[in-house]
Amino acid sequence: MIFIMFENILFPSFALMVVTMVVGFYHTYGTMNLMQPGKDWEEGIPSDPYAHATENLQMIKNNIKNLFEFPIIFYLLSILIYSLGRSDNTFIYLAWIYVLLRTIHSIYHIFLNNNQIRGGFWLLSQLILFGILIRFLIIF
Amino acid sequence: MDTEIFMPIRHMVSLTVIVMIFVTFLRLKAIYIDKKAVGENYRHPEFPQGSNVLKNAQRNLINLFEFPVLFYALCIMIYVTGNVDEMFVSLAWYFLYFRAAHSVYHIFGNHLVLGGFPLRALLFLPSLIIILIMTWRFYGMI
Repeated sequence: MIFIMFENILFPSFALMVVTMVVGFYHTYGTMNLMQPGKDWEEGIPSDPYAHATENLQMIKNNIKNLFEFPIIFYLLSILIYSLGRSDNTFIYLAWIYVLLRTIHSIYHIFLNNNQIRGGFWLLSQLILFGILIRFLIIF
Repeated sequence: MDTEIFMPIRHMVSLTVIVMIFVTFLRLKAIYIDKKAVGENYRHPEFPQGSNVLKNAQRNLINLFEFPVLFYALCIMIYVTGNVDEMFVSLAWYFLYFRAAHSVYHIFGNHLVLGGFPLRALLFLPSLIIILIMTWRFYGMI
């Protein structure tokens, strides 16, 4: 199973998609939870939900926004690397490291929200993404 | 068959463009006709004084740049790996139907039922589940 995961450059993208979907479902759960009797949104979702959300729900929403920013470049690069036949072990390892860092970043963002540590993981993930981009441009 | 997977994508992009044009129209209407939003709204276009339709449309436009982007990436991956089949094309069409219905309902209806449950969630969640099914199925193919 582990070996199969390192055979294709598209697998890390799958993994990040699943992470994004899990965060999406968690956001839906958080929203529903806030609408329970006795909670902030008992009367229904306000017209401006973000401004009236709890800090935890705001963090989940912020993380969803983040997951649709730079990771889009990652998906694009993965597809380009695959379709142009430039995939190799280095790209696949870098892609998995990127996914791992983004996953840790999401966990910190949603559950711990330690800005310094979260920022560190984000910066590392950006460096990896930049590395993938530069290597792709050199090889291409 | 392969390129058929791009038809739902094409319609999703069209839907996004239509919502974007509609939002622009409503923003201009709020500024020039209704005179409800001036000055700072040009700089930070959230239009808090705007109509509910404008607020809903703005939020829907943001939503259209979230999970549908995963849908685009997934469809392109399915295409470049040569795994397009009838099932994937059908799922992609269903995704489009749910997202189109979600957009229309989000912008013009957006009602709450059962003490606050947003009815549009019944259109959003199936679209999310469809992407999950497509991802899982594709994962099993490569």
